[in-house]
Amino acid sequence: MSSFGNRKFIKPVFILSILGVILLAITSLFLGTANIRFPDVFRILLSYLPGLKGRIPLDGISDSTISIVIKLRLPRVILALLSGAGLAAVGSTMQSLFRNPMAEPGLLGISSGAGLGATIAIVIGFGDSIFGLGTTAIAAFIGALVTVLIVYNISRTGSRLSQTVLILAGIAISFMNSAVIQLLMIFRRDRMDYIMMWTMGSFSTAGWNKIFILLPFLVIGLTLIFIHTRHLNVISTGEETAKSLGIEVERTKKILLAVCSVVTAATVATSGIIGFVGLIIPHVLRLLVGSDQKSLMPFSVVGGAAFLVICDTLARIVAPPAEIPVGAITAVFGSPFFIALLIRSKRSVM
Amino acid sequence: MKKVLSLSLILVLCVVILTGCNYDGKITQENAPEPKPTSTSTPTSNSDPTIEEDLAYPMQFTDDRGNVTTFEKEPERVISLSPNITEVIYALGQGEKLVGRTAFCDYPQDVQSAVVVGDFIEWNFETILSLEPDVVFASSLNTEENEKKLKDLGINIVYLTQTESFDSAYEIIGMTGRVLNAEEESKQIIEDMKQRVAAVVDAVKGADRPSVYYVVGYGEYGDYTATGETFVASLLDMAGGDNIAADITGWVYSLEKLMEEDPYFILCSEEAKTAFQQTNGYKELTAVKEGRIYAIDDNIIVRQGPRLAMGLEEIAKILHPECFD
Repeated sequence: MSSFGNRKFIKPVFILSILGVILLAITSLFLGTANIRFPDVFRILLSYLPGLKGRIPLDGISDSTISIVIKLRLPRVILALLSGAGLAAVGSTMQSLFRNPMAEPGLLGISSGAGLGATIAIVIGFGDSIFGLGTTAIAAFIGALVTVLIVYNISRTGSRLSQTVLILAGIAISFMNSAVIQLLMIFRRDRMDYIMMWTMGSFSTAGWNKIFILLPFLVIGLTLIFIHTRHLNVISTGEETAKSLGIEVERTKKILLAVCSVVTAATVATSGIIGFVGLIIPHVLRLLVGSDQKSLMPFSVVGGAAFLVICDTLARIVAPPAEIPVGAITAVFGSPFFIALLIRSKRSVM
Repeated sequence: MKKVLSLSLILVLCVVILTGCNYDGKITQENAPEPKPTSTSTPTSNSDPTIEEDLAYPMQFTDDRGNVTTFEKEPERVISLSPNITEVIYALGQGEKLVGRTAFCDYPQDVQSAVVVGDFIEWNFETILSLEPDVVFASSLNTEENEKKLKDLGINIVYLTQTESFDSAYEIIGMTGRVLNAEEESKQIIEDMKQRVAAVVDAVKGADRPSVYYVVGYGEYGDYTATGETFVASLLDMAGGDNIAADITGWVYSLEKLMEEDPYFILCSEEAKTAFQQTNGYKELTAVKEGRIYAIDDNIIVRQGPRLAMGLEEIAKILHPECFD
């Protein structure tokens, strides 16, 4: 199945891909609309390395140049890495959990709930910020979680969760949320652009505050997901099998659903709705490394991170000085790549 | 949703293409600020120079958001993120200080020399930072999140509210003048505008008030107009018109209501004029049939800047040609 065939290559390939992402992230720091010379970026970055502080001469580099590299590009790249890692891991988890190739982070109405929350905040007006996050982000986070709770409660019978009802309720609520967003846009046409731009996702206001808010959710969430990769493998072959093997399917499902919801909500709240990553990246990697979650999950995390860094870099540099919403880039550049992979894998099967 | 999204994507692409044209893609270290030894910008107006020097720096300035900014010296490099403020800066004779603007800032012609740093919502923070501005002007058209981000980056930001009243323009002109050390000029502009407004109000006094409808949007894009709570409506009112949407709020209107009210005059933008008259329903309106649909430059009536008085005059001349012979 997998392109790497032999399992013993998986580890070195994984280490190489991590190095690749790091290289990619560093490359991204050198690119941007401001034309900063590469040696300058290099000196600035070196001077911020622990132990080297103050030892690298920064004369000749203006304060604004340092700000651009350290306060603009660096947090952006890190936030893109984190969001990509989180969304791809969630997507991969959901696809195994629901045994459904269409599953993605927004499946249970999380994205649309976040969108509705943000829309309400945008329509009411921009208030004060809390914990360095705007009211829009907080409203988005609340909207996402409220939506998931509603979907969850609809599909719960006793202690069991019906999968079909979960998906259907998620879709229904998504449609409802989108419709309400549209209604609000119609009545507040003057706020339409803001809502639209928010729903397309962007890292342009990335900052250390957002990173520190997202990081704990991500660390705890990914840890829990990695603990359950073996369970995911079994559940993806069928719940009955899983039960007969002594796995507490309902409990695992609930834990993972909660983790997925919170990680997605936190990501969407900090950077808007960024589609495609959570849906396609796990599929791409499934084609490359096979569907064993023990290797698929780490590769998804790295792949998602790499993909969003690339997309955000493109968003920054393809049409200066305009910023393209990263959500628009992901699909435009990602879809052809995925389709090409699909065609290739189809050929190899035939 | 899909349709709306794709529409917006087209919009974004248009903006990209448009802005891509007049931007050479490079902000090099070389054309970054060269320090100016002294304030070389002598105001072109005949104001007393001693008044200028009276404004002592460092100056503290509190904007409409409560941001307190201390200016150590007169700002030399200015970015405006709102078209109305861009116009104010030029009207104050401070245009040469403008180094950055939005893609929507298109007046006066000279603004082309300033670098585009984004639109209302998406700003290119890298470009803004590399321009090393002494002050960045923002308005209600921008988002607080972006403002906060700029502040965190250590940029002086001055936020000027646009409220739904004509006087808001005076506030914005006055405050911009204070920040840019051009208070005399700003007072002159405000005085001049007030005189022109008074002249219009005086001229249309006593005349009968024809009903009027101002087209913001129509047809499949939805019917939108300036209802009673907007400052554009107060322009219509001051110009001696009877805005048929005066008694409702928000921006939403409907074709049926428009046909029911059947206004005597219709005002719309130049681009919309022809298509509006050919669209089903709208072509049945009496004003369209009898040729009383007039194009007016949106920018002079929706931007709360120095041209607002001119906008008022133009509306009044359309509604009451007899009063302006």
